[in-house]
Amino acid sequence: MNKKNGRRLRGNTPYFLVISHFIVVLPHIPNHSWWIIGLAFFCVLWRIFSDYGAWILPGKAVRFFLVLCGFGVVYMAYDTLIGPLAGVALLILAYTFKLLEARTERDANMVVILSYFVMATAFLFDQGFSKAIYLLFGSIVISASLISVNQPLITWKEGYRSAAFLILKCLPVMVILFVLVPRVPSLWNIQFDSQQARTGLSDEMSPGDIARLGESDSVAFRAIFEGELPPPAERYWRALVLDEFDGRRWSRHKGYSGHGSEVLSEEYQSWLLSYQDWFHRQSDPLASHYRYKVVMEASDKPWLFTLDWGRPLGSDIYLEPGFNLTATKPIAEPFVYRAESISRTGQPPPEQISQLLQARRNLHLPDSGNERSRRWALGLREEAGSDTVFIEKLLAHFEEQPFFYTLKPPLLGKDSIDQFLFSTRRGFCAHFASTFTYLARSAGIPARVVVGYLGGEESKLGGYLLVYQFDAHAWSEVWLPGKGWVRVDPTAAVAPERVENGAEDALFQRGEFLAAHSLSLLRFRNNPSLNRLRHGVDYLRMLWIQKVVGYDRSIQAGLLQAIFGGSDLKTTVTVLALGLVGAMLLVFFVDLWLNRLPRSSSECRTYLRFCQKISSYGYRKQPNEGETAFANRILVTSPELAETVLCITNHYVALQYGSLDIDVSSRRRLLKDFTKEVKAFPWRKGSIFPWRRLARRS
Amino acid sequence: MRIIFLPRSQTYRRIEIALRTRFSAWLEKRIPPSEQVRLDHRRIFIFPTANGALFLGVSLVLFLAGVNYQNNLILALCFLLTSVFLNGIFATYRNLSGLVFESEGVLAVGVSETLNFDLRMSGPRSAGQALRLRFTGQTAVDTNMSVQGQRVSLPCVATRRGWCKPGRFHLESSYPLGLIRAWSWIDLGFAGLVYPRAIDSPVQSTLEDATGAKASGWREGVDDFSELRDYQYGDSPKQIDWKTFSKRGDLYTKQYLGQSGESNWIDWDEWRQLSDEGRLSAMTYRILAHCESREPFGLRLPNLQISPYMGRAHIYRTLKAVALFRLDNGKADSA
Repeated sequence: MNKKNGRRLRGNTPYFLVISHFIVVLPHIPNHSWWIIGLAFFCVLWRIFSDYGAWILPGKAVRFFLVLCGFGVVYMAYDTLIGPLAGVALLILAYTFKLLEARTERDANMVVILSYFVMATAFLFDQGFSKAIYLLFGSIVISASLISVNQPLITWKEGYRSAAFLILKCLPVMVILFVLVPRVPSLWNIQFDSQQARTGLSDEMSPGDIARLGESDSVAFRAIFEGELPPPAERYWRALVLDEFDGRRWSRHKGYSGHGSEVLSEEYQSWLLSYQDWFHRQSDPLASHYRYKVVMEASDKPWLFTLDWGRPLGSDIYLEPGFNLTATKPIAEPFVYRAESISRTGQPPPEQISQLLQARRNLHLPDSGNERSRRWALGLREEAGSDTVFIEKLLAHFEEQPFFYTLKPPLLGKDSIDQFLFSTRRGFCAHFASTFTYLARSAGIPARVVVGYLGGEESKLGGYLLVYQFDAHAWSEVWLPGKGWVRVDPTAAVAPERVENGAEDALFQRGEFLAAHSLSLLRFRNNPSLNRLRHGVDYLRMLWIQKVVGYDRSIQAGLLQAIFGGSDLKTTVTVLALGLVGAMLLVFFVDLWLNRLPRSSSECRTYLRFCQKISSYGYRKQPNEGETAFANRILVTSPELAETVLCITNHYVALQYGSLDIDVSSRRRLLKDFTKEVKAFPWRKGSIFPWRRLARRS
Repeated sequence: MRIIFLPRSQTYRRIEIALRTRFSAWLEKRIPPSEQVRLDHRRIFIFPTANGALFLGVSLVLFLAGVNYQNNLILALCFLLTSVFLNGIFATYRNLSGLVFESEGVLAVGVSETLNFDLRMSGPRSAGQALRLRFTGQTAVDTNMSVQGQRVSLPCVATRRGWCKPGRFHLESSYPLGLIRAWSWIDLGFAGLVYPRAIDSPVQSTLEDATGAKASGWREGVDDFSELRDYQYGDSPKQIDWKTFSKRGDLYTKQYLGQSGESNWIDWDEWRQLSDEGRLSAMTYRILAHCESREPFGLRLPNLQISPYMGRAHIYRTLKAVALFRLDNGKADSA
């Protein structure tokens, strides 16, 4: 055994290894510094050159030096040698060095088996559908290397072909295992972010922030409703409540910076109870009740999206005092949750904190700055006489004065509110919401900014709402006695089409929609077939997230319960065992069936094709007739076919019965000529559907 | 009271021998020796290789990673690898299952030469890839069953004269991925004849008195015509007396002096100066020399006399007589 393992690599095996190395390292490229990728590829080049005999494989000293280089490069790139990213980088380099020094079959076996793992680490960060396809493809390539190490004389084609068949055969069993193997909870808790910058809402809002999202065409989330979709004017998805203002930037009050100790506090719990109670008491026929499932993309932020006034259905999601939902940890993977909402109800939901505190918190303004706006607001408030009238007048001011809704507002200086209100008057939703809230607070009305998304496109497939990043929006909420928090969207006053038709329409009219993405499918949303394509792609992605990425213990339990009427361990194990045996038997018999006939050689099949064609002329080769005799028989009666038939027959005879000494390349040339001739050989004119006639005869 | 401890190595050796004996007995029952052995589930053993263990280890690590990072893609890869492994068990098993091995016989060789036991493989079309066959402690042979009825020669170095019975040969394959090894121990009842090492030794001169002046002149020359005898099948056409044939129509063979029966005895008593084994070696040398020169000869052993003759069967008979001379296992196995 040792002798066998210690055998040197032969045949194409080193090149198989190099190819699988490339496939393994490729998905790592975007995650890692070019120094690391460069070092890895340099080592592989070395390997290739030494296999060609141009260089020699590195000796011990050089290898040691390379390993030092590896550590150095990783340290240079990440300032550390531990942690997930540096760890993966070290793994890649270790795998590369092992490849560089792999001289024997035992080394090669190890390298190949390790490479499955190295490839998998690239997908710790991303679980997209395309990644799954890549994983499958990579498995085929790596398995081909494994086959090549263990059957060194295998050809390229045979190697990849048998690897592809192998993986194909393994798929049914894989699916059974995936669905039925009991999912255990995490053994230990690991958290790391993917280190990739993602577009999405942040918990701070400066004047230009939302506009940046307006240029992104990636999907933020999808909402699948049980029943009717809400009308466009109701599609305000709240994500965060910003109630602190420093003169330029809105941020969250420290009190609810994410869920934490406050969730456990008695105050919170009792508020939650009263809120749930309020939720159950709503029976207003005018109120609309929505239940929906949200399939969101990774955001690396914990906040979730809900319509007003919502509550979570399911665990691991919390309601914050601002009536927004949040997860317990940043959403680093696509995520699915369920929620329900009641809107347009006459009775306001209960608040957690006292009205006094509420008022104080939401009236707070910086001590100085934006003086002119403040004075203007106070004047308007006096003129209006009541809060409601003040708000109406304020909105009317936005509507009547030349305010413009644009993705590319001019930059604002220190007193941004003053500047916007009185001079530039061009802004995106953040400008309007910020200014409105500031003015309301100045006039003594408790107000806050809410950020989230407004709108959503109805998908042609599946009928769910598709919300893009460019749907990001900011609006205001004012607190009115007896009515509670009331949503006021100053942007709607300036650009009503933003609410009714969505951001893309409002911006499209202004020629600003996805100006940077000239090829984005969304720019061609007036083309129905492209729309269908876009919706189809997203539908698949949604299914993928829900059924594969989001497949977890609870879904597994539900599935088992639904099909087998039980989800306890005993049922699971029984079903798993039966499924495995079934899948393996299936594969076994399919394999047996596929192998039932000897696979004829390529020239044999081509000659049979010729026989089919010639039979349209009325000639059929008798079983006891040799190829040459058959050709001679044709020649006697159809001399016009003589040349081609003779040529084909001679080539076939040479290929099939010719000398084995003929070298590979000339044999290949012969086969190519032969195939071409048979392909060019015409069916008899006027013989329609010759294959049908052939089938009848045989 | 005294407790006698055996030396460690000896204890282990005894245990090992006991285990081996038991294992052989068990194998003997499970895969009885036969001229033709067909591999089936009773005769194929299967177990992961070191690479297979590493492969399973990688799957396990992937499982842990998938569970901890709640990454279904990595779990899926883990399950795919598990599936590849399970599939490999089938594939490796099927590669051996149904193979039929038949003994094809072996040519006799001398001591310290290599016996090549020929066997014939047949079986399902796709089976029999990347096989490795070997007798315990002998050189391994790697082969693929590319055609039905393919022949394989299994080498075994002969150490003693007599019947060489290498016993079971080991057949293994870790086709297709090297993750799982399937193997079997097959006994086709192989027995190869090993004759003594051929050594040229001069004949002692004193022998001339005992067997006559021409005893040592066994190579006196093929040109000295001595007599005619009736033609026997197998005689060289050159030695046929064609003149007589043309006259009388009967075939006669010319006998020459060098071939005359009496003078071509290979006699045990010719090498008195040598030990028994030395005599056998010398006799073997003579037999082989006769075999090359195609001359008839006879063999005299203390307990056996084979009268002069020529041809393959005769040479085999004489070599066998020499090989098995005064051996215990000679009688029992000569059948």
